[in-house]
Amino acid sequence: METTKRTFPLRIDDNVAIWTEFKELTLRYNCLSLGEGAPGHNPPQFLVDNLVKAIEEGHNQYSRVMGIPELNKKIADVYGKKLGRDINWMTEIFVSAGANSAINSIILGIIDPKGGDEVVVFEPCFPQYQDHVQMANARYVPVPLDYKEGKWSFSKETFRAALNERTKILILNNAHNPTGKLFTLEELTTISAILKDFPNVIVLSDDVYEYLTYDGKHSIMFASLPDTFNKTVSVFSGGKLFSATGWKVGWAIGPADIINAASVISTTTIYCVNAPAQVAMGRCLGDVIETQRFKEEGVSYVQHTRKEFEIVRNYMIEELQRAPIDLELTPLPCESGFFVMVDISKAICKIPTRFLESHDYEILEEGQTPVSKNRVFIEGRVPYDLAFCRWMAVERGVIMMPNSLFYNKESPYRIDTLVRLSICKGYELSVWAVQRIKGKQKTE
Amino acid sequence: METTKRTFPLRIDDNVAIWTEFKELTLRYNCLSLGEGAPGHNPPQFLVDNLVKAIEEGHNQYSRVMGIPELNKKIADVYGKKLGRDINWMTEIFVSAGANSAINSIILAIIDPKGGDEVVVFEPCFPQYQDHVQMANARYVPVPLDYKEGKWSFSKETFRAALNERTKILILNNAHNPTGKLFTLEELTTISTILKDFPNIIVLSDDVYEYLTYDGKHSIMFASLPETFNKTISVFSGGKLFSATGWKVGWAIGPADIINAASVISTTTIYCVNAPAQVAMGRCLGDVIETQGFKEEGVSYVQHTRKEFEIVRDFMIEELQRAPIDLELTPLPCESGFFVMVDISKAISKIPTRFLESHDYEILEEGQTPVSKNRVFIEGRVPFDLAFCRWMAVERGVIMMPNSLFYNKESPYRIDTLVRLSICKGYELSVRAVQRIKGKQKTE
Repeated sequence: METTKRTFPLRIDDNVAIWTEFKELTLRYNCLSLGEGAPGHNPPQFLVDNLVKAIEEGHNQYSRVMGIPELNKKIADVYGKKLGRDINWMTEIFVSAGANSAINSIILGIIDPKGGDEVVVFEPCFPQYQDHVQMANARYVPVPLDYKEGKWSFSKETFRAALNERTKILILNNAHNPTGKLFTLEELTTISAILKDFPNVIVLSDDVYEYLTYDGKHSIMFASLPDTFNKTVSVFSGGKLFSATGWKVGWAIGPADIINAASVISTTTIYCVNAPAQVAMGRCLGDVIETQRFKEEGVSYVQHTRKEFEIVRNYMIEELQRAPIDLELTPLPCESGFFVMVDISKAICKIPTRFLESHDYEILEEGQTPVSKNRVFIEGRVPYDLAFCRWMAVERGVIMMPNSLFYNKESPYRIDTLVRLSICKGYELSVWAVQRIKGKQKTE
Repeated sequence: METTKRTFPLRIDDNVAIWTEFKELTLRYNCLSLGEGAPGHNPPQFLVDNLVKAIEEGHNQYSRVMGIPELNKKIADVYGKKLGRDINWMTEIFVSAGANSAINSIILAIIDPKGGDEVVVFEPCFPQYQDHVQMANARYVPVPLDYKEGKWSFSKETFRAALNERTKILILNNAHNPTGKLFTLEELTTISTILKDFPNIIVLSDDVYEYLTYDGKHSIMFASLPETFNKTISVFSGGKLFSATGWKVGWAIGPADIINAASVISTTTIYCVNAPAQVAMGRCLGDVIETQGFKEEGVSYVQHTRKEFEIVRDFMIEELQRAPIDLELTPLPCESGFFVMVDISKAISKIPTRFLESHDYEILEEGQTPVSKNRVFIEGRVPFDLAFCRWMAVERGVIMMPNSLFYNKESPYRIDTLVRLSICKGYELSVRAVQRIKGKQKTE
């Protein structure tokens, strides 16, 4: 019996197809992936050992919805020091099924479901912010970050103009994805000062990469500035911190009323969170990862991780500019995080026509069906960065992400001359991938 | 700096307080808990071993949002046999952060956020259904199950009268919580026939306890009836099945369009699911738990679990009626699941007045603050079952759940003369708890 054609009311656009194309390209063209923000290595053994111990101790059933006390107390202790204040573990923290889930709960907890509220976001940005904003029924208001003279920055005036009395949330992703930008103290102070004129605005401070800074720099958490804690919810990722993005544990810290509102949502969308993983992470936060020796003498797990990724970053930035290379690529400076961005504007002329002209770019074999296509246009053409990424996948066997996907489809700020490469996949894979980008043959 | 008093727009009632009271009572009065539906034992060693192996193999990062193929393929195979059809592992299954999360995604996907849609539910029911319905902005329409002559049943006429052209979902929890009822083939066929007059209705078949049936009985999945698969989405719980409710893995099976719509929601609320746990469960579904010997020769893990819980059920039902006991309690028959219900109507006269008269029932010591209170009334009085449960907690040190909490606050069908006891906590603890209920002193 055939189903009559059903449609369902729109709550969130189906954006899965955007990422599906790259997954299918990875398989079909045997690509090395510098696409997704997931590490290429396992979580540290001390975390795994603690997970096994937590399971043996019986942490396998439903637990406190705002988080297992052992974890929340450790978070309060560790982040209290980072933020320079006492944090109430019972009321000012909630644990979520990953940071993205926390962001979903927070936005749904604050935004009026009837519509009319606005959320301001710096673009380019983590694409899922748009899904949360749409699901909450808020209006998405972008503010551009522009790259100029070696730095990403925003215009004070443009930022201020984006705010009004209907703005309820500013999403501030420091240690920024995809640019790696670290907002300076001056910039954060500017934002804070401007927000004083908009007392309805809560800052959602996405700090998931705050630990992963390079060249001796540090990420400043917005909530550590004077007079900000009570208007800020800061989000962190256990998955990123511990290289276990598939274990799905994140946490948020903020004033009790916002935390409670978000927790009411979270209790309904996920109920409670991966119990043994919470306990394991609680036991490894703080000293174990920030002070204790890991692998090398006098170097902690966090320091080791920074070093490893910095080496890959430096290698990529240098190698992608070093002859022999048939493309003129300009990597951008990267201060933090999992990614480095590369300017491809001088390489556009090298992109084979079939990728520039159409979304149907594949040369298919007999009987082969095409991969799913993300049929998006900028100014009537296939975005250059999307064409470049497809070319790299199909002919050179490397997956990378087009920057234009990190903007809302209707954003006036979309630029399509940059691509984003992961630096978290390990040195060996990164070397292969870079050699392929430079034109070396794929070997099986 | 003090926060100005903020309020957030209502999306879901804050019902956390309801359960908080019982948690606080557990701690303050050193109670044994027969409250929550979580097993009192660890997941089986074969599952834990598979989890460790999955971690070693590298299943620790983001994965396919609809579920890791190894798990989805096994689900398609195992449940395909149970449902008597081929299931497409790619399109007709999605994996969720627990069954409750799947239910949330499904309801949000189907219901129109603008309002006007209705959801029909048999009461008493799993309380979180209400939260999902409210979050989706649908109208909650209850249909009562009545207990008469040893059986829970519903009236065909009352059921039909609850349906109309605005009804979009019927939530059908077979192997029912809290009653343990197994819907008969006749009842399910009646429901299916009536639904033919309401082609807009999708059946959300909550089958999380379908494996846990007693006395040689079986739970019939609604989607296994003729011509139901294309209008039904069936939900299952890896947490319950494997005694790992804190690992947060569940799955739903249904026609591709509903599965896809639910997955779009799920991708936003949680993104992907606990990776190593998915792989571990995928390797243990089917033969390992349904055929292979577990602990005893010729008895599988599922058979063993049924036997264990049946023993506790039988003990409780017998012992709660056996002298010496100072209360007249009437346990109801229980065909499935984690719980047994007990009629307390003949014991109401024994409840000390302070519990019946007021929500402020505690006798507090100097400086002691009262526990959180769920200040709900039925017909102007404190519900009898709530008073009874509070009495049992405070004076006899046992937590159980009042049946009246398993109805919508505005339901005309609420009855308050039943309590729900868990039978999943293990024989030893259950014996101690039952002795306490019967008046034996708490020992530390």
